[in-house]
Amino acid sequence: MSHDTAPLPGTAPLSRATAGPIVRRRKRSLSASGPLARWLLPIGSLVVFISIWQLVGGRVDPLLFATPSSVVRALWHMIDSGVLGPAFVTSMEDLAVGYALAVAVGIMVGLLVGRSQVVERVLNPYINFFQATPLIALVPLVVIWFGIGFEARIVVVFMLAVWSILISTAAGVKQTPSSLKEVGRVYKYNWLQSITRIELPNAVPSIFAGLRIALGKALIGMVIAQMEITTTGLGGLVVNYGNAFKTAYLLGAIFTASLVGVVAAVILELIRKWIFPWTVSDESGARPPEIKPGRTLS
Amino acid sequence: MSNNGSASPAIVIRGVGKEYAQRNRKSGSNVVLQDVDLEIRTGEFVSLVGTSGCGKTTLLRMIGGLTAYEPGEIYVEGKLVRSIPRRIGFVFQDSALMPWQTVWENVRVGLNESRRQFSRDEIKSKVDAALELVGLGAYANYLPRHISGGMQQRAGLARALVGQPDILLMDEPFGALDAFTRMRLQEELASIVARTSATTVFVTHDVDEAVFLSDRVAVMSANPGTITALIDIDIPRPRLQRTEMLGNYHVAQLRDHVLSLVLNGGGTAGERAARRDEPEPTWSRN
Repeated sequence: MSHDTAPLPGTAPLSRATAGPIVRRRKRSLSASGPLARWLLPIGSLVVFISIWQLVGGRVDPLLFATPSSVVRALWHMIDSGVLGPAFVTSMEDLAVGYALAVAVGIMVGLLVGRSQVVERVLNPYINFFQATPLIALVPLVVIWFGIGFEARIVVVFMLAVWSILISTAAGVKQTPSSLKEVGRVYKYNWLQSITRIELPNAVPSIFAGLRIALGKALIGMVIAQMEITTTGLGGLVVNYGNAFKTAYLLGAIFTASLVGVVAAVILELIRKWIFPWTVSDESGARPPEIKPGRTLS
Repeated sequence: MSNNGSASPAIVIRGVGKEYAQRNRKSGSNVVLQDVDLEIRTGEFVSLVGTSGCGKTTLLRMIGGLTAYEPGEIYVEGKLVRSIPRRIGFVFQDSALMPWQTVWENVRVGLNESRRQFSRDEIKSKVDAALELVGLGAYANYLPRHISGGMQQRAGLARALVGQPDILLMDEPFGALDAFTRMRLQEELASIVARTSATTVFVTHDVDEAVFLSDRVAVMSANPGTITALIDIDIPRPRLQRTEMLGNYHVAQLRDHVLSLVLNGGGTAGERAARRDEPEPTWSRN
């Protein structure tokens, strides 16, 4: 502050040396968070990556390494010949049904576990067991119990997804602030009201975190079930193209599966923002929004 | 507003105590409250004042049925408190608003207790009136996190008042607010409580606040927690402005008296017994 008027010996060079870079660094970080850079950097990074891939891929045996352009051509051919469409639909069916079951069961059981210490103590050994077990190793057992059809695939998707939802729901319910529970007691909420108006809303951010993790796991379950149980859907395409050494087609099927995951994650995020606007953190300086009464819970 | 001639008291506390069992067997149990006696008249405003750990919040929660007591008896409106009494409003220290509900929806929670089913229009007019009363009419559709801490406490107060409770219990409602907001809210609370007829029990560690708001101040001390003094605050109402009262000699005397009782209220039971033999100052109505 005063080093340009009467600096103590030794302090002035130090402060000058530290003051300079700090200012410059702040400027650089400001431009990196600008709207232009926010879109330019990831897109640029993708363009560079795909270009390098194309250049390198062109010089290698196409059996080992497909170029981006050949993947796009393969994808187009898969759509055109009517292979990708049905596979996509089958995959979405497996994923949607298995995931929906996992959401329903996970939230319901998670609610019970979070509310009751007795239920928690009874179920904890199983929760810990299934958390620790590599569930994919159970696929042969699932086939023995449920056969090699739709049901078995659903079970695998469900089995992989349900635990994260259950655990995150239980954690969210358990973390309900005691003062909010007391508000419910003072104003005589019955058990249903305290679940739907206090405990579940309080758990919503935690539940959505679990839903996102579960989505990734459900996707893994879906592909594995379609590779190992019934050769069908996108997982089936991966197996078939892999066996036929059609690398470009193989990558096309894999990208379609990851696209499903990305789209589902975006849908999940939109649902959270639309139905549960209070879970969205505010941008600094933004005007506080008025919430229309109908758009929040209860 | 202090109807001293009222027939039956709104709240009767008789020989109430509580102890928590301690893990360490040598030190025995931890007595939180012991031999608490207090009668609060209908429409009266009583503050419980004391240092941390004197059990004032515990006593308030016992009146509200949120904490169990043993031994003793607490009657609210003539009924022994064994669960949460009907027609009470509770204002929590941290406002305790549901983060996912708008201010309006949070205030409506206060109507849930009533067994009567209100029509949509009745609910709307009651909630709107409560929000007007605390000056939050313009903020009905905001989420709690988008309003200030003082406004959140106003919303908590509106939620407690919307059901027109007979008993209003307030647990350090202004404890977390800055000094200026706190002063404004104290003034508004004084005028709001004057308009409702609720019997109010107010927990605070702020002696100025207690003297400004109360008809009587109950001074509590710790180890074991009990009421050591009851002081009548004979300042005429309406008391509208904190600043007007700051220069008043009588108010200052009352304040100093309460403060000295709070500060000297600790120590052992023997010390307190010795102190009780001292002559009371002449201006005390104790």
